[in-house]
Amino acid sequence: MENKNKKLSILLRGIITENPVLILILGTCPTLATTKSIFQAASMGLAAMVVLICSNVVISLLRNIIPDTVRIPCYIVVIASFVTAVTMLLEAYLLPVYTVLGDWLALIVVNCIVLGRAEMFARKNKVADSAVDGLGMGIGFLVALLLMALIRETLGAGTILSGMQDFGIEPIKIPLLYDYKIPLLVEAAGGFLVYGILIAIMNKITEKKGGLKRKSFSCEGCPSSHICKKTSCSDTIELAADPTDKAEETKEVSDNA
Amino acid sequence: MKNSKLYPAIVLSSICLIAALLLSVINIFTAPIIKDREDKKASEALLEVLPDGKDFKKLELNEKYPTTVTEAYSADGGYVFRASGKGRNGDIVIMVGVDSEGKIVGTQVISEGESKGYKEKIFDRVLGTDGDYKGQTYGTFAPIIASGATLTSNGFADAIKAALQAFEVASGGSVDLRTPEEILQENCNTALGTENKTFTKWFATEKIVGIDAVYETDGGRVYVIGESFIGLKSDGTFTTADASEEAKTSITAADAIISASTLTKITTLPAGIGEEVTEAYVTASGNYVFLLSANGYDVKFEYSDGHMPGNTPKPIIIKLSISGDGKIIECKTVDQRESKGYGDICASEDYQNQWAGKENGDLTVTGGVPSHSSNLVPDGSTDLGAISSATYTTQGYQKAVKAAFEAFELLTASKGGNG
Repeated sequence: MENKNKKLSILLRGIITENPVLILILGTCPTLATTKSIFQAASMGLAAMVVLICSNVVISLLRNIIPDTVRIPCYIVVIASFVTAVTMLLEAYLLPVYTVLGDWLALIVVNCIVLGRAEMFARKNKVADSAVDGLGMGIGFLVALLLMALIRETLGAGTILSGMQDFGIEPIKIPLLYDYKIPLLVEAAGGFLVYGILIAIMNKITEKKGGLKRKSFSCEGCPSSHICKKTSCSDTIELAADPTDKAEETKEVSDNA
Repeated sequence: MKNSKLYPAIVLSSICLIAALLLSVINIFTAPIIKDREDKKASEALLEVLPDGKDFKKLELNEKYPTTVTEAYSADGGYVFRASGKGRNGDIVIMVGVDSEGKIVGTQVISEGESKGYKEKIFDRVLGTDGDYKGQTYGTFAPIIASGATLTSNGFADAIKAALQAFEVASGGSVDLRTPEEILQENCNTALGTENKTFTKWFATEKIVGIDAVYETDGGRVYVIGESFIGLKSDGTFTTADASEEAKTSITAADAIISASTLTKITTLPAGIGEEVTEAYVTASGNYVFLLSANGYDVKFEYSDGHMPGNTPKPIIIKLSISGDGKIIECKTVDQRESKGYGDICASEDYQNQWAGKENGDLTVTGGVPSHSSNLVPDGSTDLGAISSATYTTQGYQKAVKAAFEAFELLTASKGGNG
């Protein structure tokens, strides 16, 4: 039961309290570039999720084998291999998805979320937990992209489901919104605008749910503070292996006090 | 093992190797699917220009094919070629379908960078399976030039010609891929019995009868009569054995005239000679040679093509010879920087050749004040020296030649008559 709760906690963290796009502010480039249509956003989110899960699993499997000195190159090789595999499979079996993502598919290799989770979580946790973390972060990334795309496509282009002609689905023009669309929202500036608004909304929601009030330049403002034993970013103490470790340690200290 | 210095390298190498192996396995499954799709897409593109084509097979290109043909496919029903020609803004790459009789079936553009205004004038006429090139063969090839889009039209025409040449090669024939200049130089060398010598055309300062053109190099001259190239060494020996006696007689006479011809510079020009005349020479036989500076588009209009701010405007330099009876012997455009596809036509062989034999009365300078938005030279104009859509160049050239005629009259008057 405790195990199930732990896994659920890891999963939900990636979707809400540690949403990689809206809370951790990672993966900003694909977020802005691939949210002009819902189809494109869904394609990117799903592709990144697959890579996240697979790379987290493999890196967790190899965590006791890969030495520190070459861990980043090893992570990159693993991540790049999965991205290449996904690219080949999409090009062969799902050409519309491959086409709509274009160059952004290959750029998943350098997506901060993937390498960030490998470094922050997978290398310090078991395979199952890493897989769930990958899934949670992937779902969080996907949900954030879909939210952005929903706003940008409906208000900016006045349509929904564009880009799916190869599946036999024609874009639907939304009455009124199509006639009074705001083209700025499908441009870069509009993307930033929508992104900023969503971050603000997310911050408000997570504050209300007992999340830490954001303060700048302090550990209290860092969303990863619960797994970090440092008292400031300049400390050299390693990160905790398990998110509950710190809580248990604190309990231990207070018990012995 | 973990403490070994080699351990990190071994781990990294192993991960790379395993990743490569796994990706190779995935590639085995996905590569054929991707290739089939690409082949199908390529076939669809080929069918656009050769709708009746079946079973397309890519051909190996060799040195017999024109260099501007980059792909060739054979099919039941004909061939498809991918060829290019230089347009106004770079290469125009097209696909051309040719049936088994060598007739063009269809054309399609693959890539081009032409401006909208120019390509609209020509592409609408020539693309698709009902274009104006349909039915043309290598033997009947005639370039289609749209007025006001000369460079784009020429680029397209060059690509079509290359495709037709490629058909000749692909169907077992051969074509001469040499440029006209290369053919000329080779013919001259063959005629004179030399190798790799460069021949330059003799600028006619004297009238010679029965000879179409003369080319000079050190050691001799080559005389062109019709399609025959006849070589004459400096020592008077004919190097072309099968030249007729009549031809030899004409050539001997012409050679004597050319060898005896001298040019004396007229140092003091009479008053009233136009500013276009920069130098004047007289021959012993009383002919005149003028060096002219014509103010064409590059000089007269501030924002001419290719004219970078800060550069000095470039006039058209013309060399003109007038015989003692007041007729032009030869007109040569020595240098110019007029608009590409418009005024630069003044450097073409046809434009220069039109002046031969003309006299002052034949030339009327186009009237009116030119401007960038108006064309004072209508399409198809047969006026001497007229270039449609190139009013500045036309007027500048005509004025310069007119000045030469007037200079001739002044010079002959000051000498007391002709010759």
